[in-house]
Amino acid sequence: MIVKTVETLLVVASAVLWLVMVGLAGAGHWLAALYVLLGLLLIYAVLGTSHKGRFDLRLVAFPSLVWLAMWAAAFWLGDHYAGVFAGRGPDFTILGFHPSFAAVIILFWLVPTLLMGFGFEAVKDRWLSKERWEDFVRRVHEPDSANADSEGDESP
Amino acid sequence: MSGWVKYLILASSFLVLAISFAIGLWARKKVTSPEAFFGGAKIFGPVTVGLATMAAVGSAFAVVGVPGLVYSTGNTILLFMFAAPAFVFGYLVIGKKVRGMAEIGTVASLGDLSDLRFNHHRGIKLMLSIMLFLGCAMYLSAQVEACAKLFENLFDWNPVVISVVIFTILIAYTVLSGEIGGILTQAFQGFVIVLAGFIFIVSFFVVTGGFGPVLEAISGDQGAAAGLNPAAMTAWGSLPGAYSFAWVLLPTLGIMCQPQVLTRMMMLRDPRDMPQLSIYATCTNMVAGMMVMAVGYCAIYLVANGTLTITDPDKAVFKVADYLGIVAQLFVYPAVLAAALSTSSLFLSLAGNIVSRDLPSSLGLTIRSARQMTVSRIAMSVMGVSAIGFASLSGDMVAILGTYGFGTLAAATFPIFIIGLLWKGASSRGVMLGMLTALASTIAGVTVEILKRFDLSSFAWPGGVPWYVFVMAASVVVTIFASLLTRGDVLDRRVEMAMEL
Repeated sequence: MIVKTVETLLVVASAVLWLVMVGLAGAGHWLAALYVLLGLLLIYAVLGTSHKGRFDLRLVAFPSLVWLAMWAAAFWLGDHYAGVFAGRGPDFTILGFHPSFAAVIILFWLVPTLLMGFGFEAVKDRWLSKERWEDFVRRVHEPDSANADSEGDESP
Repeated sequence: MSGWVKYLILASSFLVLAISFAIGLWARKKVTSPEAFFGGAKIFGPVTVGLATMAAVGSAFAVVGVPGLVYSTGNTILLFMFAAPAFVFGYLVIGKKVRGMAEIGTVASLGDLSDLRFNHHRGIKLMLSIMLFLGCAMYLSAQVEACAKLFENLFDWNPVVISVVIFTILIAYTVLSGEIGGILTQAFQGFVIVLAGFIFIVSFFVVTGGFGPVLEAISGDQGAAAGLNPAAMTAWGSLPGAYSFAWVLLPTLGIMCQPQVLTRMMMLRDPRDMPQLSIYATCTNMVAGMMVMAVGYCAIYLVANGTLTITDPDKAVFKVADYLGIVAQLFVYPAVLAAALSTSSLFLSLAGNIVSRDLPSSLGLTIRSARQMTVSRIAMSVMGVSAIGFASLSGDMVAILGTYGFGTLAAATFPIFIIGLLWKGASSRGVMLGMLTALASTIAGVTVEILKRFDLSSFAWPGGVPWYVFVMAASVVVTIFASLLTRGDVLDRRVEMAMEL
């Protein structure tokens, strides 16, 4: 019941964040809206880990939270260097890129993509273990009465 | 360009068509049931699904439109192309739940998935069918347009004739083998795009010497004389910031609920292969992203140095390929064709599914399984022909509608499949109201844009934010608050189990 309430609160918070995000963007504060988007993604990441009345916050922390932190850094650095070198060429480059765009290349694209891809593989069993999947398939294909019995067996 | 080179390019492009057709023909053997035809076969591994997903998401717009936008407005659009982590995020958040639902019964379409989650609510299915159909029409017409333009650069052929030839072959193999052939041909087409990507990336470094010289070229006097803006090379490009916001938001939240991604999750043999699938999808997407950046940057470099003149940004990819020579040409034209075909075949199948299964069922009509395949085949053919007709009559308007397809599909599917699968409190009535909001606001948004295009309206969206962002927000917020005010549905225990996975 508590998790159900927390889930509902998170979903309501996501609706509020949608409104704040679009409101900020509509008012011209698009960069602030991008940061709000990260908060929204974090909520969906938490909701996605819900399993039998629990949220798996370790699964949220890695890889999703690390990814979102990188994106926040990319937005900040990208905007910072776009402002520093506005109207002129940059004083230095990173891998040949404008420093503002280098932040996007490294912290928005390459590292987070690899981190998410290979990080997901690393937490595969935590995300969906073989046992959990096989148990799900078995219970899904059981007749309703048998399932009610097995659910009863699990109760303390 | 000499005549024989043109015909060699033509041959390489038609080779992609011929192989796609052959795969479709071969895949016909695997269509063992109507469900398999419609996408209910859970028989594919992560490599096939990963390549197919990348190819279906990466439409002709990605291969032709994006390099043009990089050339003309800089890095802004690359935020859209570089949002590859969103693929993984989608699989992480809803992947196992979607695949779990596919285990419960015969789930061959998004309508079937909606039926399971919302207790066969006909109104939701009807709204979903209408919105998906609109999105399909927008996407398909844009792909026809891209195919027609493909050979414009080489031959003075009638664009309608080109579209008819290409789409006839596409319709033939999609009609024969349905989603089974669809996913296999898309995997092949994804491979072609990746191959072209590698060729272009290597060519870029050979021609320019790296990213530094491109930055130098655009910042120099010649770059300014060519009308290029050095601000294009910053993180946000030279477009207003609202585009950066929209082009981060759209793929990040939109990819996980695109039909191209959702339907492929359901066809994966083992859900525990999803992490591997995400590696293949993101790595191939990275190659495609790098390719379009390389083409756009190459165009900037060559124009800034006075080597090339590009008047139409949409032709930047062909101009660069022509400059690079025959090897690049032999790969870029087939890659554009592959991108258009992969997206088109998916949306043709989706349209066939809607007309033969989801729409009749939402109206309370029942069509026998075997007959559904016939109806679907007819629907795909009619849809393909209509897309050709619409594209030839509408001209440039079609390309604009194509860019709206992504937003329209996201607005339609987000309330049902993201909110619906993450929150048991999402009620049928709440989602129905959210869908109605999405449909009404999509129609309003497209109408305003069309009026603006013909100078019949001066309405400006707040902050310059593209209209589809407001549509998505409205549909999600209405779904959530309307669900809070209405009673939740009693869920089937198996559906609850899938949502709890």
